[in-house]
Amino acid sequence: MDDLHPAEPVRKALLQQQLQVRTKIKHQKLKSSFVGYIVVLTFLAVLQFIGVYFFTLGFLLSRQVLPNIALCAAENGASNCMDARFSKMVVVVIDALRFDFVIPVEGAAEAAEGRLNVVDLANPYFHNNFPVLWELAQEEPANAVLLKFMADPPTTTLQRLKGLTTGSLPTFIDAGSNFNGDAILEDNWLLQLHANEKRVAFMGDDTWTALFDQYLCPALNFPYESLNVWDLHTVDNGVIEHMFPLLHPQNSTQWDVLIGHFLGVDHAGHRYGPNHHAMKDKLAQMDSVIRRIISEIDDETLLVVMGDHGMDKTGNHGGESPDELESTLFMYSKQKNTAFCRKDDSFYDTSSFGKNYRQVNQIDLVPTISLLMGLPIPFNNLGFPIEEAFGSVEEQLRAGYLTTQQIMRYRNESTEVQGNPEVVSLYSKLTDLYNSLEDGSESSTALLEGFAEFQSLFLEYCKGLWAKFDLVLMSLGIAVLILSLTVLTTYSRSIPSVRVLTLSFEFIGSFIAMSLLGLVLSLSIYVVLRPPAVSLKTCLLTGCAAGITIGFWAPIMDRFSILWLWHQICDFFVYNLNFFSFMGLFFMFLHCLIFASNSFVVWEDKLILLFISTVGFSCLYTAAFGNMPRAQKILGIAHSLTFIVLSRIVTMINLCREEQGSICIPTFKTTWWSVLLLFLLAFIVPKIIKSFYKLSSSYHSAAPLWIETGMTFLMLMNACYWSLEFIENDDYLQKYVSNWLSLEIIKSFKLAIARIVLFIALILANFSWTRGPLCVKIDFSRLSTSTNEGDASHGSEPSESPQESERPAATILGYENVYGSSFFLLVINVTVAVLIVTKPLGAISICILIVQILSLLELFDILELRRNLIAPVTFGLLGYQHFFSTGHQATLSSIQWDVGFLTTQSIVFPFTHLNILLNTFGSFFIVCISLPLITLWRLPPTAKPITILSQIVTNVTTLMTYQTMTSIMSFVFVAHFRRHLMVWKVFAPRFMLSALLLIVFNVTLTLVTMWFSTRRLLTQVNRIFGK
Amino acid sequence: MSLVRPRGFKKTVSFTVQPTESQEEEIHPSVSIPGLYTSPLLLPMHHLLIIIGLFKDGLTQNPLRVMVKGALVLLAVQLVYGYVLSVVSGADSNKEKRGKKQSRNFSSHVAKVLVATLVSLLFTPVAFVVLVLFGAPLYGYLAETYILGVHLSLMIVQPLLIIFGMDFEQLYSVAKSATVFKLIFTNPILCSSFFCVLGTWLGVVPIPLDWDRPWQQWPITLLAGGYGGCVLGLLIGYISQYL
Repeated sequence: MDDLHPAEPVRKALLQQQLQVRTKIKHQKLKSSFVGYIVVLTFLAVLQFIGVYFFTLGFLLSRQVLPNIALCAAENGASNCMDARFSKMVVVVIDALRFDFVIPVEGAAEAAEGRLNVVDLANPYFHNNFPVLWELAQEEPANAVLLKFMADPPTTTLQRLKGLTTGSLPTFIDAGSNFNGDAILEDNWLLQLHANEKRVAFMGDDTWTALFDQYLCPALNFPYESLNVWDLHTVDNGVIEHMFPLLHPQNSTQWDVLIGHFLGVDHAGHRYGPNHHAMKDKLAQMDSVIRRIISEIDDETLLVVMGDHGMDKTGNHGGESPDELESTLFMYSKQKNTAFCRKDDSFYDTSSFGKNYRQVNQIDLVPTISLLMGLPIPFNNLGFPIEEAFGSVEEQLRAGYLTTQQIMRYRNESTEVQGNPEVVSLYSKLTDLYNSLEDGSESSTALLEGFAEFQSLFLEYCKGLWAKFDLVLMSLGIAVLILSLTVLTTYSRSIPSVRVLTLSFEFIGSFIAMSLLGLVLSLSIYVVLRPPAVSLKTCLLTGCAAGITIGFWAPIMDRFSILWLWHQICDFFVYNLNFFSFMGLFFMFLHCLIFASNSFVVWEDKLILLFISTVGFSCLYTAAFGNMPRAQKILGIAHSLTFIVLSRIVTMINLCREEQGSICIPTFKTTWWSVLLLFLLAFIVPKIIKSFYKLSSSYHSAAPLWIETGMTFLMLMNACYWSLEFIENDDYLQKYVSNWLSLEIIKSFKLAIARIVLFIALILANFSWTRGPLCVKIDFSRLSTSTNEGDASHGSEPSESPQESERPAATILGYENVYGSSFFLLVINVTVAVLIVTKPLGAISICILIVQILSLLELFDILELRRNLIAPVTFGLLGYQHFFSTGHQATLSSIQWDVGFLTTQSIVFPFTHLNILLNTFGSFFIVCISLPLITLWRLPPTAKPITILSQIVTNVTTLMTYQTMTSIMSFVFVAHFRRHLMVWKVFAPRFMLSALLLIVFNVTLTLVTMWFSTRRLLTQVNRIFGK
Repeated sequence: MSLVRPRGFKKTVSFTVQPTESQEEEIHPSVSIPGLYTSPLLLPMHHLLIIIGLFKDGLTQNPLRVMVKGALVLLAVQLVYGYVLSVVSGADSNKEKRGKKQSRNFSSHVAKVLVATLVSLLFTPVAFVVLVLFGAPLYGYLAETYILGVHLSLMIVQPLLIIFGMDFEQLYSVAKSATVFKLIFTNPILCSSFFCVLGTWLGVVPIPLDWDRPWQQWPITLLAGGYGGCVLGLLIGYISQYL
């Protein structure tokens, strides 16, 4: 001891050095522990993706497509074709032409008598504006026929075009590929036209070019961009511009079939809905176009006017409600002798919107067109010729016979549709009858009905069959997901947090080794054993999934026994189960159960509110009766009340899905007051955030810039954008404004604003955030503040030790919320980006979400619920709540495609998709990114950043567990209900949402939450404050 | 922690003392609810009769009218039941002097019941607001929701006020107590109120189902859930006293 005494300064310096080294090591350790966590989370994500992929592959239906091409010459020397009745054809497709648009609706007179309620009135915008088809069908019954045209769901244009040309049924998986339609390879009437050397001219929707490019005449092909729903006129004007010159007698020799596809009606529906004068104008324009075409065509030309699907009352389509399925078919010819064979007038009943009007299937058009044009019926066709289209009973019989033969040929060739022997007996009976038939007219009608019965029998059989699922792949997917769930829960709950860190590094090695081993093994199994009916991809992915699972369990089994891990989970229930964590588990459980019933899936939005308000009221109770100082209590009560009331208010913004029926009143519309509110919110929301910052006195340095300057400015821009948008859509304002400002300028203004805001919010602001803005201020003036706060300010200057500080003690304002205040700036960035792509009412909802999150964070702090299970679960619930209140539902038709054109005028790969993604999953992005705040909000710089990190990881994995559980249940029940009446309407869209959410959660939580933000913030604060 | 198998590596575990229930009791002296609840007179199950009566009276045909009627019946029954409760439980502080001041006791019981009923009726707007915050519809059905609030506050609040003898301080201390669940489950009245809330909460579950039954109309399932919970809670609380 004594001899050390003179060396005291040396010792001190050594200590100092040691301290520095220790700090450095600690910092290094923190950095590396992030690597461990992120690698584990990444592998978990991969495991879940594999599960989702397997299930999707097995669930979304597929159909065997036969490559055979039908020929006119049959085996027995007879012909499979009829003589061509028309040498030329003009096909006009008017997208989304609902049936009631073209028939007379006389609601006004009947309503006057008081017999009908208001809903049945003729609508001035979309009724009686397109009368030409009905007039012709009445005036020239021998030359014109108008029919109701029933689409097969899904009612998307690509699917419908496939059905309308091949005559087969679409499978569901194609619905998603509407963005990049693939060329049709199976037999269709365009192919047949091409093969029979007919020239096909085309103009309009470019989906046709994507599907049939090789069959169209290159010189007469005029495609137009189809998915830009904001543009009502370009496509239509283009079609008109190219169609009429070609119809002119001197040019009409250039083509045999002319196809024009108008999109205006569809786009007017998407953009404004049917209740808009734009719809009226469009229908009137279509009326005049059809009249002009009729005046131009010659006697040998067949005119077919049809819609490919209808639209629902909001103007969208994709589902299978009657409004979406009912479309129009009109055929017209100027042939002198009777062209068409009209049925009795009672078939064409236009009362109550044509509810009882004679209807035909869309696939029925395929044999009809083929036979009328003298072509063989496409090989895969399942439709039946439309009786009216043939002039006499004999022709009808011949057409029915040929179609029956074609269907039978298809049945014999295809391996998957041979299961119903009664079809064969019916077929042989019918052919015998046909061959023995002379010309008795009574028996011929019966025979015709027999043919039709044969076709409908076979069609129903095919429909049932193609809803056939790959149960093995589906179970495999669910199994992989359940494995990932056990991995998740073990990782987050069973392994003691002290061990997780050390284990994480062992995981890296074993993950990589085991998944490689799994890949190699599965490859060799595939190569050596060649298992039938298993593709290489499936085999490899299974190996990879097994490898990751084993890679996870191997190091764990090395340390712990299953029994012990099980005890850990039981311990959680025994010791940690307080009221709040029980509630969290209970809500997880209930949310999983809703997938067992279609009604609960339909009303999910209301259930979420019930859960959230229950959490709010429990917080209120705890705050009111908890043991805490009076000030805290009042704050707690205030925050809970804010949370509850805001949650209730936000559910008043809703979009109804069709199944919710008349009980639900949709409020999600862009109105003048919602746009005005945007301006107001631009000032209010930053103020509210500011007041929350002030609560922890961290409104310093970066905060004012970010919140009061940046956020207000960007939100004002956002409000400007949506008011311009509103002006553009409102008739009155549009007329008023267009006097002094052209619409083109407004359009370019809008583009500019959206681009600037998104660029600032997503790139500039996030880049500046990576520079590490802190919301603290060093205050030298206060001498009386406690010393321990003063100590920390010297952390960056190692030459000083606490004892030496003789100068006035410096205080760091905002010290107690260093992490939270800085982290929340990132949340603001994301919020602003989400705000611009959300429609005004949705933007209000997102603003409320931000305030809710802040209140909740304060509550978690006051009630000491940071480490409780309820915290991440509530965040998840908030994500769902705002998913619904931003105008979404778990349906395909509620996807807001139009926001895709916010930043670009046409579809440009990352931008259009990014907008739609941000719009659809915006609330989930915000919730996921603000998840670490549960731990970080109001947390002073800590000496144990790794503990903080492990708490954040626990929250992240808990939220992931919640989502994985709901997704698994959604998968399980969609598989269970695969034959349910509601599967394509309710369960399948919800399954898609669950699958996408699982991917979104994994990617956001791992990449953004953990890797991008938490890692940066924790290391940075630790570098500055950590000693 | 003791189950960790030593595998030859160093580990540090910090043990923090978890405050157990007994310690909490020491910090906060145990709270008890005044009165005795062992009398079988507390189990008249009038709620069950009322809800069955309401259904028989055509609750599904005309919910609002029948519910108003039901609220009046409930008010009368709760007045009688409140008096029985007040007398039988002897929640009065002057239990030992019961024999002497029979007549004064009678008027004090009546006064207590009347005041408690009045206060619980004043509580109905609060119940209404809470129901709306939990997601009761705002377009239409407001009257139904309000009457439901009347029913609920009569069933939940009135008995509570009676047994605590309008002593809010004590009610507060019970709610504040760390063993609040234990207290609730061992007292028939508290348990009945608690289950009434729970029953109403669960009452929303059948509404979305697409069965198209008349009883799926807005407040009926909540009302039935509330009444059912009330009865169930009373039974559970009564039995668990003896366990």
